[in-house]
Amino acid sequence: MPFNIDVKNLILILVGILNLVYGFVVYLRNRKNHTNRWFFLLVISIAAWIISIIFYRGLGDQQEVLLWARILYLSATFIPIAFLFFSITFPKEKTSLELWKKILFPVPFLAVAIVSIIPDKLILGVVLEPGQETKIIFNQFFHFLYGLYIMGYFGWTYIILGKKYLSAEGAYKLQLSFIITGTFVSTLIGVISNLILPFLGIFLLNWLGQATIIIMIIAISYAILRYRLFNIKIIATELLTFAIWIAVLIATITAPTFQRVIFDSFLLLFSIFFGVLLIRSVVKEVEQREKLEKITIELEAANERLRQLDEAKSEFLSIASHQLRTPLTSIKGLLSMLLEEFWGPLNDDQKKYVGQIMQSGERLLELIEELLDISRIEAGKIKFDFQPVDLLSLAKKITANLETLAKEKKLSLEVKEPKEILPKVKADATKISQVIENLTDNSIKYSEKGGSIIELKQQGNFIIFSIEDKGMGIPEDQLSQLFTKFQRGQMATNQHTEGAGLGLYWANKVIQAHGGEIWAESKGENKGSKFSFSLPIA
Amino acid sequence: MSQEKRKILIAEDEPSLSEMYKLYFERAGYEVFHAENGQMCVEVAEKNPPDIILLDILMPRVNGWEVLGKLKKNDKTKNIPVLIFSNLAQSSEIEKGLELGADEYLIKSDLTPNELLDKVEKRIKE
Repeated sequence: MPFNIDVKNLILILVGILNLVYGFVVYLRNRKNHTNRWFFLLVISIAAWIISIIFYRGLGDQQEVLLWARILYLSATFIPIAFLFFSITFPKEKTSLELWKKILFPVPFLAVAIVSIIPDKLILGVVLEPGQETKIIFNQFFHFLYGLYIMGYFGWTYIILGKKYLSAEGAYKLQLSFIITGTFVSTLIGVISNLILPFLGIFLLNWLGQATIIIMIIAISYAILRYRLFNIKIIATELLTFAIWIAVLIATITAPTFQRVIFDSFLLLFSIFFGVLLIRSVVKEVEQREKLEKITIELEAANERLRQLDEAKSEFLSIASHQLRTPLTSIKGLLSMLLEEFWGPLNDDQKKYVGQIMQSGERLLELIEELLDISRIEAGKIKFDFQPVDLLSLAKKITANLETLAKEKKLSLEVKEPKEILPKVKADATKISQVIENLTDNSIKYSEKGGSIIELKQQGNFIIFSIEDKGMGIPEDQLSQLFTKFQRGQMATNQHTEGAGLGLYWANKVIQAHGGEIWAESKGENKGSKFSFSLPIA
Repeated sequence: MSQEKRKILIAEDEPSLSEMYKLYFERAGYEVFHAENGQMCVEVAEKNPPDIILLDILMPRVNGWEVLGKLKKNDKTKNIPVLIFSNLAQSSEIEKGLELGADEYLIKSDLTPNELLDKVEKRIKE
C-alpha cells in the first residue's frame, strides 16, 4: 500500500498531534466543565478532519480516496456545531440552553452530515492526477448547501461571541478577544482554501485550512487556561517533544525491515508516553509558580484590606471618644456646679454622693482616654520623643505623687537608692511616666499589706526597672496573658471591677516601642508580684 | 468691677453645654453671646467684637478651623483672643489649632466650668 508522505502531510501530522495535545490538556484539567467538553469535541472533530485529509492526500487508490473524501467532508461538518455550542457555553461550567434549542440547533448539521457521507449526494467522484492535489466532483446544489451550513454556523457563532465581547469586562473580555481573533484567522483561511476555492474548482490549497486551524486551537486553549500554555518554557518543551515524535514517526514509516518497524513503533510509543509526562510536569511546575504568584497577590490584597480595616477601627475609636466626651463634659460640668453650690447649698450626704458621681465620671473619661491611646498606638500614630532620661528621678517624682494613695491604705512606697549612679535611658519621658504610674498604681491597688519597693539596676546595655509588692499575686497560668488587650488577672477582676484591662497592654506597647521588654513574676496567689521593664541606655 | 461688663462669645452647637457655660459666665459677671454655628460666630464677632472667644471645632455649616481662619484674616477680629474649646484631643489637632493662631487649645472634658473661667480670666488679664 503506497502512502505519500510529503512536507504538507508532515505538517498536517504535526498539527494533528499538537491539536490533540491541547485538546487533552484542556479537557483533563476539568472534565466536568461543559466549556472544556465542547472544546474537546471541537478538537476531536478537527483531529478527524486532519486525519482524513492526510489519508485523502496520502493514498493512491481511487476508491479509498473517494471514501476518505467523504469522511473528510463529514468530519468538517462537526466543527461548526461544536464551535457554536462551545461559544454559547464559554466560559460557564454548564451549557444553559432551552431543550428545544438543544434539539433544533443541530438539525442542519445532521442533514448536511448525512448528505456528506452518503454516496452520490455531495461528492460524486474524485479525480486523481499524479503530482497534483486530488480534485473532487461535487453535486453543485448540495455543495452550496454544505457551504451555506458552514458559513452560516460560523457567522452565527461570531455574532454570539461578538455580543459577549461587547458586554464583557476585564480578563473575560481579554479571553474573548483571543478566541475571536484566533478563530477568525483560522476560519477565514479555512473557508477560502477549503470551501470557496474548491467551489471554484481549485483544490490547490485544500489542505491549508487543516494546517492553520492550529491557530484557533491555541487561541481557545490559551483563553481557557488564560496565559498558562503560552509560557515559553512549556512551548519549548512541547516543540522538542514533538520534534522527537516526528523523527521517530518518520523512522517508523520509512523503516526498511519489519523488525525495524516493530522496534521503531515501540520507540514511538515510549517517546509519546515520556513526552506527555515531560510536558505535564513542566506545565505543572509553571502552574504551581503561577499559583504562588496569585497567592502572593491575594495575600497583599488581604493585607491591604486588613490595614484599611485597622485604620477604620482607629478612626471609629477617635470619633467615638469625641462623642462620648461631649455628654460627659456636661455631666462633669453640671456636677461641679452642684458641688460649688451654684444652685444653693447641699447637705453633707448630697455633697458626698455628688462627689462620688463626679469621680465615676472622671474614671470614665480616663478609660476613654486609654482606649484612644491604644487605638492610636496600634495605628502607629503615636509619636515618641526619645531623649536621655534619668529614670531614677522620674520614678521618685511619680511615687511622690502617689504617696497619699499608698498612705490611705497604710502601705509603704519606697524607691531603693542604687549603689552606683545609673546612666540615663533613651526614652519618651511622658510615656514612661505613664507606664511607671500605671505599674505603681496597680501595685497599690492590688495590695492590702506591706508595700511596694521600686528598684533600678543596670544589666548590660539596659536599665531594669522593677516594682515588687506583697499583694494578691498572679497565678502562673495567667502571667503570660497579662499584657494582652482586655486581659486582667482573674483576681484583679474580682477585687476591682473598674479596670478595662488596657493599662498593661498600653505599657507593653510603649516599652516595645522603646526597644525594651516588660514582664511579670509571681510566686502564686497572695504571694506578691513583681513587674519589671527594661529600657536601653542612652 | 468699675468698667463695663466683659464680653465673651461662645461658639458651641451642643445646647446642654452652651446653656451651662452661659449660666456660669453670666453669674461670673460676663455678657455672654452665643453662636450655635460657625457662620454665626464670624458674624457676631464682626458686628460686636467680644473680649474673648471660646471656639468649638466640630460645628455645623462652618467648622471651627474655618472660623478661626476668617477671624484672623479680618482686621476687626484678628486681635480678639481665641481659645479653642473642643473634645477633639489628638495632638495633631492641637498643633493645628495653635498654628492657625488660637491662643490656647482647651479640651472640654478636662475642665469644669470653674476651671474654664480661670483660664478665661487669666487670658483676659494678659
